[in-house]
Amino acid sequence: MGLLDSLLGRGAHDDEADRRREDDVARVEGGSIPLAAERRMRALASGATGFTSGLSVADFALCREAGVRPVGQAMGSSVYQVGWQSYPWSTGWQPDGLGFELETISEAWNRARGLALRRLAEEAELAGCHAVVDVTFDDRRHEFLGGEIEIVVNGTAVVLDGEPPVQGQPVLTDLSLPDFALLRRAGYDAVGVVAATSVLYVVPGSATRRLTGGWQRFQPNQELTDYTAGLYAAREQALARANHEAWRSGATAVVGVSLDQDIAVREVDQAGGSREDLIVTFHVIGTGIVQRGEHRPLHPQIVVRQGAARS
Amino acid sequence: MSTYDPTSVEGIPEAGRARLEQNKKGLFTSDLSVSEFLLVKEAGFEPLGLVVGSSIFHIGFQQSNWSKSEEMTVLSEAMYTARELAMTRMEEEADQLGADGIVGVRLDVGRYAWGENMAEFIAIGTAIRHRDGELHRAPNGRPFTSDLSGQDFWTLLQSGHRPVGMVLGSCVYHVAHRGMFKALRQAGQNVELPNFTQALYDARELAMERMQAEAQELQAEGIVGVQLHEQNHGWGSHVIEFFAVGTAIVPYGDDRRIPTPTPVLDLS
Repeated sequence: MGLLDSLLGRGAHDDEADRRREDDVARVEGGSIPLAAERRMRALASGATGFTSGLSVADFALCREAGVRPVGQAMGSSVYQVGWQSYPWSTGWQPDGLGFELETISEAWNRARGLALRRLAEEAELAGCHAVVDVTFDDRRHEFLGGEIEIVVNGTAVVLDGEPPVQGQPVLTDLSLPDFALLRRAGYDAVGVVAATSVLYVVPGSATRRLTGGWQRFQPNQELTDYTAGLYAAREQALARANHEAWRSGATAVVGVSLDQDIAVREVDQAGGSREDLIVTFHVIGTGIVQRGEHRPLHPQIVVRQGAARS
Repeated sequence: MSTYDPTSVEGIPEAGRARLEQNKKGLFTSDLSVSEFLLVKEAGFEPLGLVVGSSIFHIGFQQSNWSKSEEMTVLSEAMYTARELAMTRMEEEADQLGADGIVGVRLDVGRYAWGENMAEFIAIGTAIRHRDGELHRAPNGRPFTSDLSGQDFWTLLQSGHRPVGMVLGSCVYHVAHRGMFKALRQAGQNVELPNFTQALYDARELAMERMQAEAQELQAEGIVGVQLHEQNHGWGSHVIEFFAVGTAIVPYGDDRRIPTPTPVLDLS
């Protein structure tokens, strides 16, 4: 493996590699990051190597102006096994729809993301950074995973000029660097990323079942209240969780909230016909902010782009 | 990495040489958009021609160990060497045109139905040269490469930096299968799977570390626009490639700052 060796200046001794792998697994079990990641972040912090960043050129060009210095790309990841979840049993002939939270699945999402975010924060902290901007969330389903999910969070760790050295955990935000800088300029501070998931199981009641049955196209226009109620409840649940989390972190507002939803249909065959239950997943992600001082107005200049594409 | 000979035309086929000859006479081809073309001009550069490098590579075989997470070094090396080869051929073409560098580089991996263990690695970009011969090549004598668009290239120069090269890191990794007993013990629980987490972490770290090593070799100040790709090139479900790519940059000239941007409200 001459080429790779020459790049990294080390050889692969099997025993050593095995020991290192076991150590790393132990570190991961403790909720921490592997040694190689720690080393990389420390090296980036020491300035011995150049910085790395996922910043676009335009964002990078803004750095000096905004008093932000990129240090390194930070990452957190967690592969999580979703436990066994029982689906609520119902005849489906109750008059009203039912909604149950699938607590095991909700909890799996929330915990896995928590673990990934903590690792991301740890990497940034090792590099002595004040904040991580552009935090993106990815959930991956690798081919080799069955019901397991991998959550990967990525961002660029930055140091803010003129700020005292960071105490404790750095601030994570899903805002882009220009947005982050704009917010600071207007007198606000980001407190941290706020994220929550809720997964609801919706069983339609008899009325909805009749409407969605075989003869549905002859029914007049009307709302499917059970499905509406179910989706509504899931969305509210996720938002309430995000709100609570923001409040706990001391934020007075949450900006840039994105709602991500996924609806899966589960067909249930029972004596007396089949029905369609829904599994509704809502993810809420945003950034908690707090006002630092006086609000400074932006006074934007108005432009009309010529030849702008109609969207 | 192998030594680089700027006069070499070894990798360029006959038709390519003829095309480059024509480009040298003043006609340029490029896949730049109109605004990219104008901004490259604005930055003080002349586009010289489309440059291409390609390599069809046979990727060897490596037996993975069922229960062990490890790098598949044979495969990693293949992916690395093949990309290097395509890039070098593209650089050779640029050299024939007397270019300072290449912008808008796209690096693709193509797979064909007629070969299971082979892949084509393609690098395409537009060679450019500074009008007054002011900005030069990467420290290793090669024309600089970058995946920056014309707009990004211009912006970067405005901020007092220039690209020195595209840096990449690759790692093909086998993620161990889970032991049956362990899986049984944890069945039905909400738990993190540290072995998988560690394996994926390890693979990404290796790729990023290699990318950083390449940047260091170029004496770069840093890397912008890093993208992390995760691909499976048909090696079975437990083997994945992590591929990190970005553009290494260095400061040049005086300490420059972009003018304070004005917030605008787009009404269109």
